[in-house]
Amino acid sequence: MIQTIAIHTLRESLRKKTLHVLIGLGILIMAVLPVIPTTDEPDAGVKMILVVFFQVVVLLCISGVILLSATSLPYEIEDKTIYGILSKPVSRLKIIVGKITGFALLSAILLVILSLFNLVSVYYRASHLPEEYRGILKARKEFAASDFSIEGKLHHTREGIAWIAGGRSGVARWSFSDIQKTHENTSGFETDCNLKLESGRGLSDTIPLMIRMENDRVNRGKSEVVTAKVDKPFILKIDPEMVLKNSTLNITVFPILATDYMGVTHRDIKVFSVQKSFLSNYAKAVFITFLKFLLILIVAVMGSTYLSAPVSIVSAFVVFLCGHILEFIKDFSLLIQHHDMHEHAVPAVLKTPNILLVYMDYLVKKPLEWICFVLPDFRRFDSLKFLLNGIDIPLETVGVSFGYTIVYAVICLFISCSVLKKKRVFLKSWDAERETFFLLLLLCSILLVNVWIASFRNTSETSTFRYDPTESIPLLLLGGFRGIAVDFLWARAIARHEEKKYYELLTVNNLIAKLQPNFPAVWIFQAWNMAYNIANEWDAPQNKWKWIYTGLNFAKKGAVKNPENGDLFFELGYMYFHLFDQRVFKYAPYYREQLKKRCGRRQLRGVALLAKAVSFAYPEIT
Amino acid sequence: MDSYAIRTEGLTKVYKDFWRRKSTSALTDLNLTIERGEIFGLLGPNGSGKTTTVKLLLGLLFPTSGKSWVLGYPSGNITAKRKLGFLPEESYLYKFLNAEEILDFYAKLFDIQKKERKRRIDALIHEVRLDHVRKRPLSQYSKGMLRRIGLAQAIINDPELVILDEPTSGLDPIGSREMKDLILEFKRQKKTVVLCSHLLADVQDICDRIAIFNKGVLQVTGTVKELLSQNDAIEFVVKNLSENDIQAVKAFVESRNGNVLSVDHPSSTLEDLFISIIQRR
Repeated sequence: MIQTIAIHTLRESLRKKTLHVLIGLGILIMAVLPVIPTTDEPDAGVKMILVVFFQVVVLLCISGVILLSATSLPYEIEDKTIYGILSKPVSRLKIIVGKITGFALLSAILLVILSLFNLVSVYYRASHLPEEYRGILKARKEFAASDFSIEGKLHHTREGIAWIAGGRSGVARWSFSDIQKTHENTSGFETDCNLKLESGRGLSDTIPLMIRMENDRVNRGKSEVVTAKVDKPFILKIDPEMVLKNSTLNITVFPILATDYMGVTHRDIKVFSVQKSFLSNYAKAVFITFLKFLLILIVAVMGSTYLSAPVSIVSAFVVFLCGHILEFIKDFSLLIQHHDMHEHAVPAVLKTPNILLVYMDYLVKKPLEWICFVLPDFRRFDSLKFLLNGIDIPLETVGVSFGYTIVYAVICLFISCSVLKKKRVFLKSWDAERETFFLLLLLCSILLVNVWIASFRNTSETSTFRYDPTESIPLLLLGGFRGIAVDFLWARAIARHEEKKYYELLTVNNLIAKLQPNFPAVWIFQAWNMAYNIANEWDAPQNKWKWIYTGLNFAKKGAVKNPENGDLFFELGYMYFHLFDQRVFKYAPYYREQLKKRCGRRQLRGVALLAKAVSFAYPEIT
Repeated sequence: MDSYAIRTEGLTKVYKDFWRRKSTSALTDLNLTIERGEIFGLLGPNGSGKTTTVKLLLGLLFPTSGKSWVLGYPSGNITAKRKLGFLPEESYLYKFLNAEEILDFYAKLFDIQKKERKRRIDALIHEVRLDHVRKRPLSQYSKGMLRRIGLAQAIINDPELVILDEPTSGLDPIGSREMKDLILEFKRQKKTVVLCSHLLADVQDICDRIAIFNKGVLQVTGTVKELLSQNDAIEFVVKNLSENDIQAVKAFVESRNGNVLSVDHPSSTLEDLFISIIQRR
């Protein structure tokens, strides 16, 4: 019975034009990709094909499946074809399960067809790559360190990261005891190093490291000097002789120069066995993507048992979107609380106690936290990161994703059946009235919130003629969604600040500034934040200076973009005046020294003039 | 086994508005029994509660109060639905399928084996005279053709009880007559037929018993003969009588205190005339 309804659903979907257009579009994209030139690294083309398939084409297909699955039941109820089935000996549970099975079959067919095209594109593009770049077509199995220790002097520990200074004062050691060939196809071993590095030599971005690999059984080792880039992971090949059964591979690392620092954790060095099983890894990735399809179509069918077609399409898309931005929702809930930031960085609007924020805590924050528990977490189904890094998708990941989908499916089925069981088969006018009422309520609340937000906008006058062409394109593409993107980024920036993830914060700040280039408060707030708050988090003057300099540069950039805004120049002058004052900051002489190194004489004179102008205009601040 | 094909006790359906207030009483306190093997007509104007009754019996709607049983099982029961055929008011069929596919789909829902399925589909398509368009998608069918294929799907499972909602709507007079013949054939096969119609002539022709609804309330039930017969009037139908003889008979009746209401030539119905003309050609 379920099979009959499933095949019927599949047949119905296959005859719809929406699907034909989607498949055609997907194949067209797949066909064009291999010949699109890329300017980046040689394997960027292959990565692009994979990214476009798993993000763009899959999104297209998911949209199609949502459109079909969210409308199937409502349309049958509307044109009353459901009577034909309900008057036959079929339970409502079987109808729902049959529909879901039909759409699952459809998703599987779609995925198989398009992934075959994708595979052909990947192999075609990869065939033109030099041998050393074909690593992307391998699936590597990860081995975590069995032991991790710091030998010698530990400089300090912060947020679980152990920092050691260079020059052999301390050495980090990772031991791997269970490495062996796990697969017939294992062709070799390599190690991924993702170390946190900081240079005391100004803002140098390369740091020489001494890396030694040794096996305790063969009793010999190999040392090499690697010039690592700050914030860039690197890969090292492991000599096959170092990998033996029932032995331990030790990897020791330390920065060579005494002025450099290295932050390490247990998981910063991983060893991988390289296998040539890209196909099976790809199949696993496609299966996980199929589970994603399954989950969203179950949600769509569940919604369609109660809602009309348009409303159930919208709600399925909302669930799909929110399921991908759970992190943002959590960030947003984190935003709705009191901040204990330093005085300097708090804009006036945040300083005033706002009763709305207090209520928001109960009205928005708690429900948001609960929503995060209820919504399906679609980030769980991200298999692309494994493929892009050439890492074998662990079977546990596939199993957990499968289990997650099944549990969610059972819950959704239970809800759908109990709803459809009680629901009158056809929608009478009062159902439509109720839906309209809720939609109107939703629209009104969105309108009110927008009006409230708009009241803050008097300072954000934009003048398009100053837009940098490279920056204005994403702005134009974002269109009306720019506001949403900016809100998203602000929430993220504050959350990253609270979590003390400063490097991520820097990226977010740059993005915000790109989206709101003519809003001086953005530049001022973020420049202050970096120059004062973040700099204050560090102990070493080198690190402090790094953030102060970044903050100053940020403010400078803002001033250049907004030459008519006096506030930015004032803030910049104030920062130059204040930060280099020895009475306030004990490392001010060091900062001055560094500034001298980085700026030319003319620039320094300008800076001095600016600082002087500030102190002259506002004598009270001195 | 319940001797009734259909039984209802205080069956009531009330539609409520957005604020859960009572807005429309579609059906009020229906107590009805339909015997096995009879052709029962549900009559009434539009919106009188006929279709609501049918939907409640099929389990397509849930009653506000009261109970109903179909073939001895509570309404909506899966076992009862196996022995039941339903032709809705309009043919709500999947328009992207053709006649064979739609019958195959519904037959599969009854778990009918492949061989038997094929045999029944061929027989039914022939019976409803759609052989020439069996491969054509239903979207290209006329209303009458859709009605016929609708009837075929309703009896694909050889049901014990057939519920037909406005079976002759959209059919031409020949199709309409064939439908009536088919219903009488059901009776010969000892099937129970519930007929829902507002075309009184159809019902009068074929129904054993009828129930008349108005504004959701059952007004009257009984056999057609019981409800229509005028016990104080007599009708003679005589052939080959001259005008003088007619006057003599009239005088004789009046001499016996009889009151002659009309003396006229009997006429056949327009339907009979239409069919005789069409069949002659």
